[in-house]
Amino acid sequence: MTAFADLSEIVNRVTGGNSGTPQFLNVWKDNRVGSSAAANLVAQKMTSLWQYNGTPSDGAAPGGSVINPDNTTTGGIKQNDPSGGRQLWLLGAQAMSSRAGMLVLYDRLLTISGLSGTVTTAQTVGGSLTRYTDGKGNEIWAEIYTAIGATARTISASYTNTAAASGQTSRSAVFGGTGSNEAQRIIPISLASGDTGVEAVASVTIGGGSTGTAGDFGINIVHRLHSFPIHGPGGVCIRNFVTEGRIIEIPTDACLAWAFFANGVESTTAPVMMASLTLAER
Amino acid sequence: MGAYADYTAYRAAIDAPSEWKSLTREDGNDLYQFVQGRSLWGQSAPAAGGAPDRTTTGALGQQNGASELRIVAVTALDYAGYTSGNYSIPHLTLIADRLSHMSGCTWNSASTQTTNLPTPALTRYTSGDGVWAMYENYTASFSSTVPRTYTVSYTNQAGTSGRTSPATVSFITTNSGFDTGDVGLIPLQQGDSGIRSIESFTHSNTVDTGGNVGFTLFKPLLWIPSLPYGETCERDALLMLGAQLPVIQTDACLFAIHFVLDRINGRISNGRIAADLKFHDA
Repeated sequence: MTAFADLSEIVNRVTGGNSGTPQFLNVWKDNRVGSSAAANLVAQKMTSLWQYNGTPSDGAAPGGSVINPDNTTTGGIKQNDPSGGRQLWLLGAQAMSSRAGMLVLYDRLLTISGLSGTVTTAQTVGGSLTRYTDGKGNEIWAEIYTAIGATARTISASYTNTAAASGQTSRSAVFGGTGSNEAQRIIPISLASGDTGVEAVASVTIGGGSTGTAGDFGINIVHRLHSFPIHGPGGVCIRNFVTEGRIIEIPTDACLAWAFFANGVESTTAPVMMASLTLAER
Repeated sequence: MGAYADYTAYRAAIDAPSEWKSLTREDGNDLYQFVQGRSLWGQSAPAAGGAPDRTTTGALGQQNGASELRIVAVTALDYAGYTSGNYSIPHLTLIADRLSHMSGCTWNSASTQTTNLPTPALTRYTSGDGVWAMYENYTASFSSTVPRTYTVSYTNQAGTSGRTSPATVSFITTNSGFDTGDVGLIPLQQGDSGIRSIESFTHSNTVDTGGNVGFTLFKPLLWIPSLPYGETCERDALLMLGAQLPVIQTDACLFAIHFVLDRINGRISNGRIAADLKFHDA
């Protein structure tokens, strides 16, 4: 890996010099899933925009077999991979949302769905990573595709940490019940004390009993790339990573996707968002 | 040529642009919270339409570049976004290349409409990849009953016809309507990343006043976030607008769209934009 030498090299490559091959990508998401309105926001809860209609199109629930999404996966931003041994870098971005909170850009590394909100034994996840394979900075997110039950339970994961130690048990997160059972809801699952990332998830277990409704939920291993604070409805966050001294590598095959963290919620209406991303190779 | 050799060359481009173009548009009507945005195209309905270019009335009319033309800086004085309290509603202005447009459809029909469709063939970004679509209202419409939804049948970026957009809300609030220039983005069918043409339009129900609605295909180029009420500044596209430096294609028909993302509370009264765009041919 070779860093950009200086601002001049960034200027040169983002305008196409030295095989910079710049990409200027635009994304928008409507607050609808298929033919229906997306589920309402809940204060201080995360919402997945994976299934939100828009351009590029929405993504689907991944299904009962674990997959490793990549840059060709429907639902992702579908950026082109770098070539010639170069790396791809995020140099600037703008993100806008109709609701106040935080837009989160992340790499969707591994995903499965088809899990049940009424099964109280360990539900298998499995699979292995193809990016960020050392696990550092990776997170476990439960994502609900069809609403689960109204009874609040907990969920925990058995996972392998960054030291390749399997059988780690996460902390429990609230799972099911109002605010934690709706479609498009993301339930982040915190790691065990001392752990800083995830290499694999063996299984997840709902604790305390059934949520009451099977629904359909899944488990994602994700790597968060950047969070864009949106200070008010209709707000815009501009990120000039070049001047901020923090350009972000977009790994080859990255499946770039969006989530939204709602603030205190002046309105529960799901967000509409737009974003532009500037990428170049080095 | 095309790329800037270094930052000095880029800075020189801002200091000595190839061309200044002023974008001055004024909204005659309030932009209400139940519409997504307002096109500042400002021309009468195009009827059968066409594939506009830089010489089309309403276009910004920049000179073509001999090498690679970019917008390198924007100076914007923006009055838009105040209510009775004279505070700003956050919004953004998109500079886009208007690729294809037509009109002659009506909201007051529940039948599939093909008047002046398909949209004229693209002459730029001809694959349709990254091309966005929106409805654009040319005369006022009104519906006393909601909700109403619509779909379009289109050809995607791979040339596959018969694609159908997800059902999207048209009239969102009881006794609401669209003014001239009101627009709404059209999401794509799952799997798609762009659009080459729209073949038909279907609205869910009749309405009280159908108006004249058309469809516009465009390529987003430059996002300009709103300034606080009455303020102005020059913004460098690289260092202050998220490194947005796409090449402006030969004969691009540049125009602006205001987007108010807050569909609950947002409202722009007597919106206005006065911006100087600095072009440079690298």
